[in-house]
Amino acid sequence: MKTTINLPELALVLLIGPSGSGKSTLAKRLFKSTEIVSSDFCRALIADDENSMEATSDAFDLAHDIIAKRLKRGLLTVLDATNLRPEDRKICVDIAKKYHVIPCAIVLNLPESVCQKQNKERTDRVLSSRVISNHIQQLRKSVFKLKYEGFRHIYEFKSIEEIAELQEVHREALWNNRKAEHSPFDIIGDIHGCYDELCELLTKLGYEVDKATFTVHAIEPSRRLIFLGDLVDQGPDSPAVLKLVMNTVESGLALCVPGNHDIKLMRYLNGKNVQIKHGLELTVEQLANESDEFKQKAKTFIDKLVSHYVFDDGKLVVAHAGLKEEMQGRGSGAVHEFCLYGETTGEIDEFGLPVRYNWASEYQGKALVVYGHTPVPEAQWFNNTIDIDTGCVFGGKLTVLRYPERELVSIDAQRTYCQPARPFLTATKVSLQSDNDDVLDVGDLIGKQLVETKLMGHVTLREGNTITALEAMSRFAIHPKWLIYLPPTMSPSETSSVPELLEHPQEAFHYFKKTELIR
Amino acid sequence: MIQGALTYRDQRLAGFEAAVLIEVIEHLDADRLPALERAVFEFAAPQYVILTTPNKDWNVTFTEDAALMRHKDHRFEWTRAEFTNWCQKIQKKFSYSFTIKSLGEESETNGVPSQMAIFKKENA
Repeated sequence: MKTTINLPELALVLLIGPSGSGKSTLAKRLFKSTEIVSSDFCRALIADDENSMEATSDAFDLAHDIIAKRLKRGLLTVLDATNLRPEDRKICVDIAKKYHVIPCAIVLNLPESVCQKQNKERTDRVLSSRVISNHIQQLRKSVFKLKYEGFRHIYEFKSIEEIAELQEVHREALWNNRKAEHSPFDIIGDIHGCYDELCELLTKLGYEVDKATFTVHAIEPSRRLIFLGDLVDQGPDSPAVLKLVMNTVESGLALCVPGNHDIKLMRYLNGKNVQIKHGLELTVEQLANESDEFKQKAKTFIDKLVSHYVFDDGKLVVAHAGLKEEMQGRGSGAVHEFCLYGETTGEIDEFGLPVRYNWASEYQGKALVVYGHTPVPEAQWFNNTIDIDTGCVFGGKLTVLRYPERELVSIDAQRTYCQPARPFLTATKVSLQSDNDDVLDVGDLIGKQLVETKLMGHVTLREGNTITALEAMSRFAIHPKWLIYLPPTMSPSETSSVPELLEHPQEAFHYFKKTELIR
Repeated sequence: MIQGALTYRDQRLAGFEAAVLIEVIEHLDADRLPALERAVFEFAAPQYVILTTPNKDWNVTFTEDAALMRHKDHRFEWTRAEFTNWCQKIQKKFSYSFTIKSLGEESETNGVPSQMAIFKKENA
């Protein structure tokens, strides 16, 4: 008989078992040789002797470094060591957590007699039988603890036969991995129960909407809808929005990621003790007229939502509150939290709300991140991210980003359904991107730098050169934002307000004036 | 000792209790000053910033040329009123309170050679 085990495609796998239990043999059968980090091999690398116990501490430092580098780069890694002590396993679980990788364990829990026999038959080294006995005891104590130590998948094998039958690891794609999907998308920001505006927006995009039955039909077959979460709370008809989104997700027309309000509603429906405020009180009231069956369905629906998705060969990421590059396509508790709430500074603002940290200001990732959560007066492009929560429920508008066209379409709110706790309709001068272009980070300019160019490949800037460049540019050059290109002689001007004219220099001058450019 | 420039955000400078900028800002072109303001008060954001710059009012004690500056690399020199204005702007924009102190021997109507502001982060 042949058995298969399932592991996530990106995992840190600890083999756990006494010396002589056959860990290395099993690892070689199941994993690529480059995926296996062996403590013995690390000992050999730094001491020329894989039995050198005196080199153990350095060997494990090396093993942990290799594991960290591999996990950072998103590669499944197997640690082939006895891994019998909880404190040693904790170091590995912590590394996995740091890189938002799922820790897994394969336990070889063989009878002592078998381990002793295999130990004696070894040609490379034979340990004393007392060492093996100690290992066995440590293992017995460990087995029950693993799931509390943070291991998400634990497989235990109790005989040579069971191990021999294990022939294959099936690598499961993470739920968020939709890199193979390229179809065009219509990505919709925070709806908050604004059902009328949602239907109007879908109709404007060309979908066929049956408002009474909460159903939508696509006109363009390959195009899919993506909802960015916060379907409910604060607005006039959260159940209707839930119904439409649930129907479209069920029919395969749409995908949806959860928002913080959706998760709170689910917790309420699960009977958890949540504060019924911030708009949840309205949803609760609206749900009073709904059947228990619907509430049950809604609960299951929200529960199954995946924190974020990665599409289009990794070029597009969607998440309710956005996602930093190092978390994209990963699956830890921290990733889930970030997707729902974003990042806060730990401070409280004058409106009594947590101050949000704008993660996008430091974003340098290759993927376009589309998110909502923070209401802004206009959809805001910023460092290859875009916030499309234009505060419909607060009297703003409901916005969709069409991908890959990068076209924005929106519908104005019919009225202000809810007063925001923090006023959001304050326009920035030109754009957040323009404000932020004033901020350059010294880390991009000092030390040795690699510049990718179109025509010449990589150009290396040596440290001595960047030192002098920083000095000269800081003291004698004009503002760096005017250096990156030759400014056009005229601003792309808006359509003229003068009748019969398409463009007039007046608008161009007005634009420059707004940017405080005086000459 | 590290190399940097205060017109850039610099992680290495974050988290200090105090920063001292002695006769620094006047070496920047005026349009680069906002970048320094953000680098110092928004990103490095120490509890205290001690900053000095020449007092232009005092220049009349040694020259009649109003355009003359004290060093050929000075891009501007501020009067006492201009300096106070700027400090008020910083207070409003970055939530720092400030007090201005005099440096050097006081002349009757033109103040002192150099002016100093001590900024303190509010709620700190």
